[in-house]
Amino acid sequence: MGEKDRKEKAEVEIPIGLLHPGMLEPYRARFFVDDEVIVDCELTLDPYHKGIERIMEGMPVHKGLIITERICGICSHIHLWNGTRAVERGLKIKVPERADYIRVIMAELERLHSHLIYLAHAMEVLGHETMCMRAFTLREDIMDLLYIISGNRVHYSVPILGGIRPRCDIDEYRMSELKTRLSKLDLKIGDYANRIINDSMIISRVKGSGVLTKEEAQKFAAPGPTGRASGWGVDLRKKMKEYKNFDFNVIVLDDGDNKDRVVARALESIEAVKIIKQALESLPSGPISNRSFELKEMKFSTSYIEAPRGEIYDSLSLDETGRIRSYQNRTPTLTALASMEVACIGDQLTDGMLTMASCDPCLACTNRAIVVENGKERIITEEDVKSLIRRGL
Amino acid sequence: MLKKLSRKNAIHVMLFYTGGCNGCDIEVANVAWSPRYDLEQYKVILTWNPREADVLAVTGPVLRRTIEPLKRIYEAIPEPKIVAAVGSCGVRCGIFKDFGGELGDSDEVVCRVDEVIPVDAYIPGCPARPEDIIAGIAAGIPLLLER
Amino acid sequence: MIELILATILIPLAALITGFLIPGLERKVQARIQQRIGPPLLTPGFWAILKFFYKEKIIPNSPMPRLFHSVPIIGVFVMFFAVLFTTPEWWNVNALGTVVAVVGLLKVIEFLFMAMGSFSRSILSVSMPYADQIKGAVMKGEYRRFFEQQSVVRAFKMITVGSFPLYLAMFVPVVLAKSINFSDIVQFQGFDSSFIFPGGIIDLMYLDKILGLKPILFTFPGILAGFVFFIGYIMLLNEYPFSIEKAKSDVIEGPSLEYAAWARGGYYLMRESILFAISSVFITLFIGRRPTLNLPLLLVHCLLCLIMPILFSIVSAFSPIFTFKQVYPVSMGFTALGFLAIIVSLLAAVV
Repeated sequence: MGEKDRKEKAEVEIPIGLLHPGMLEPYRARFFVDDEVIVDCELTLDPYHKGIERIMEGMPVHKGLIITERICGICSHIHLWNGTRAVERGLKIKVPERADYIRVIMAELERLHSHLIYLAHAMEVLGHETMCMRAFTLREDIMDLLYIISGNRVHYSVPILGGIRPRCDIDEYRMSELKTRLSKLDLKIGDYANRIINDSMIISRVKGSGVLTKEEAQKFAAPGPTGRASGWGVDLRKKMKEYKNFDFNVIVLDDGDNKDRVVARALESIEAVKIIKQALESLPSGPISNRSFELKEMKFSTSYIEAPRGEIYDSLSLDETGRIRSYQNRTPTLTALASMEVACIGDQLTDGMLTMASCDPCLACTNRAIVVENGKERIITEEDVKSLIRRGL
Repeated sequence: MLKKLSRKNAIHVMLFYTGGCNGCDIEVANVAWSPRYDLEQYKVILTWNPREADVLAVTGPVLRRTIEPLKRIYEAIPEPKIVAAVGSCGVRCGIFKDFGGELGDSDEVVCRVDEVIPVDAYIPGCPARPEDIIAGIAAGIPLLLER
Repeated sequence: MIELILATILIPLAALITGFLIPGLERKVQARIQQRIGPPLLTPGFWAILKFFYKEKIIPNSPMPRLFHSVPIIGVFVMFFAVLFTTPEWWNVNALGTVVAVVGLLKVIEFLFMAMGSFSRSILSVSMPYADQIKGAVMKGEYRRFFEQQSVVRAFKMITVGSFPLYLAMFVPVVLAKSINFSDIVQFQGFDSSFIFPGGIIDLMYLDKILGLKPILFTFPGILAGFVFFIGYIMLLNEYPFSIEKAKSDVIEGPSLEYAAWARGGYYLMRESILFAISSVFITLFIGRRPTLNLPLLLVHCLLCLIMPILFSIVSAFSPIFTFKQVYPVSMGFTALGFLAIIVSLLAAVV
C-alpha cells in the first residue's frame, strides 16, 4: 500500500474509459495490473475542461458570479459564497449578521446533502444497492428543505453582493419546516453509519484497503475529510469569522483506510446538523442585505473557505467600471485524486476503484494544470501550450 | 401487434455525460436509484451498455474530447432508438456559450448536442427536475413505437 | 417411444414458461426489500426478450462473430438436457439418468462463460477513442486488455476455487442412496420410479403415498448439504456476493457486453434456463420430486422450483461484491462444510 509498492514494469494495462458506471463524470484512468494487483496508475482529467475562468473575463461582476455557481453541481453554494466573499472583502462591503447566519445554514445543508451523495455512491461502487437506496431516501428530506428555502433543488443562488436574495429569508413557515425535518436526522444518519460498521461483509471489503499514511497525506496535500481521516489536516471553519459563534467538533481519525474516510464523513454530517440547530435558535433579526456600495477598481482580493471536500481559494480583481479583470479558482479535488493515485497501489483492481471513489471526487471542480514560474502560480492556457510546442519543448 | 406491445413494456435507458456541471447526472441517478422517484415501476430500466439500450439520454455541452465518443456510442446502439437531450446544457449549451464576455466564447465548448446526433426529445431545466425527466422520456416513446 | 417424444417437447416448454417468471420475481423481491415498487412481474423476463428479437441485427466487434452468437444457444440446449436427464422417460436411454451426466453438463456451462468473454471486444474499453499513448505518458507500449478478457481470467479463477461446494453437495444424496442413478435416489426418498403415466387426473393411490415420504433434505447430512448446494448455486450463477466476474464497478457487464438484438435475447434465455435447471436438479436430489408427463405433478414441480431463486435474491440484496481476497476463504470454508456433510452421510449409510 502506498508509494513503496510502485513498480517499473507491469504485466497488463486496463484502461477505464470516458464512460463508466464507477464514476458519474468523464475521466480517463489507466491501471497497470499484475494479476489483479495494481502496481501503478495514471489519471487524466482533461476531458472536462471548459475554460470557465476565461469566459468570465470582461463581464460585469453580478453576472459573472452566476457562472461560478455552475462550476459544480453538488457544491454550488460554496463557490458562489466564496466569490462573493472575495469581492466584499476587497470593496469593504459590510454584510448584516442575519445574512451571514443564513449563508452558514445553507452551507451546512449543502454539506449534508453532499456527504449523503458520497455515502450512496460509495455503497454503489461496493456493489450494495440496498444501502445506496437507503442513503438516497435520507437525502430527499434535505432536498425538500433546499427547495422550500430557495426555489430550486440544485443551484440555489442564495448569496448576492451585500447579503442574500430576499426570497430566501427564513420566516415562520420555513423555520418550522427546518425544525421538524431536522429533528430526527442525526439519529437516522448515526443508525446508518452503525449499520455499515456492524456488517461484517462490508467491513471485510472496506477495512485495510486504500491506506493513506500521514506522511503521504502531508506530501500530496490531501484536503478536507480525506486528510483528516489520515490524522492530518485543519478545518478552516474554525478560523472563519462567520463560524465563531458556533460550537462543533473537528473529526480527525487515525487509520487512513477507506473505512475511516466513510466514517469521518458520517460523523461530520452529525456535526453539521448540530450547527444548523444552533444557528436556528440564535438567529438575529435585522436587514438581510446591504445595497449601499458602489463598484470601483479592486486590485486583488482573496478568500479561503471550507467546502465539503476541502478548502477552496478564490481571487478576483475588478477594473474601474466593475467588470471582472481576472478570476482564479483553486479547488480541492486535484490534490485529493493525486493522493488516491498513490493510495490504491498494492490493492486489487476492484478495491482500487473503491479507493478512487472514496476520496469524494468532484471532477467538475478540478483544476487542470498549474504552472509555477518565478515563484508565482498560474494556470496553463492554450497559448502557453502552443508557444511551448513552437519552442520545441 | 406483438412488436408494439413488447416495445412498450420494456424500455432500456442509457446515460451519457459529455461534460456539464454534473447536476443533471445526479438528477438522472436520483430518478433511477431513489425509491421516491423509482423508474423501474414504469417499466424503464437503467443500463450502461449501448448494445442493450433503446433511449440515449445526453447531458452537458459537447466538449472537444467527448465529441468523438458521442458519435461512436450513438452508432453502437441498434435501431430503433431515440435520443433525449437533458438539461439546458444539453438543449443549448446552457451558460457556457454566448454569455457575452469580452473575450467571446471558449474554444473548448464545441457545439450543441443536436449538431452531432439527431435529437428527439428536449428536456429543459437547470438542472432538469426528476419529474420532468420521466415525463420527457415518456413523451418520446410513441416515436419509438413507430420506427 | 411416444412418451419419450412427448417428454422431450413438453418438459422443456414447461421449463421455458416457468423461466419467464423468474427474473421478474427476483427484481420484485429485491425492490420490496429496498422499500420501493419494482417492475411488473413479466417485464424483465418475457417482454424484454421479445423486444430484443425485434431490434436491428448488427455484427458484433468480435474476431469470430458467428461462434460468439451461437454460445448462448448451446447454453440453452445444454440446460434443457440437464432437466431432461432427471425425467423418468429418459432414464432408460443409455444410462444417461445419472448424477455424473448432470455434473458434466454443468462443467460445460462454466466453460461457456469463458468462451463468451474471449470473443468480445466492446467499444467501452480499449477502443474508446482517446489519445493515451502520447509523449509523457506512463509506461507506454504495455499490452492493453479489454474488460471482457479480464472477466475471463476471473472466471477461470472462480472455476478452480468456486466449484467445490456445488459438486460436493451433489454427491451427498449419492452416498445416502448408494447409487448414482436418479431412479434409485428418487426411490430412496419414497417415490416409485415405475409410476410414470397414471390413468386419471387425481390418483388416490398417489395421495396415499405422500404420507410415507422421507426427503433427504430433512436429515442431518441433508440439511448441511442443502445449505452448501445453495451457496454453490450462487457461485455458479455469478450473482452478488460472488459476482466479481460481472461487477458493475470495474468490468461493467463482463463477458456479455457485445450481445445485441436477438443474441441478447438468447443470453437472457440462457440465464433463465440455468436458474431453472439447477433448481430443478436440487428438488430432484433433495426432495425427490421429478418432472414427469403428469400435468398436475409437473405444475407442482415447477412451483417448487421457484423457491430457490427467491431465496437467493433475498441473500443477494443484502450483500456487496467480494473480491478474491474474500472469495478464497469463504469458498474454502464451505468446502470444509461439504466434506463434513459427506463424512456424516458415509457414517449414516454404513450405520
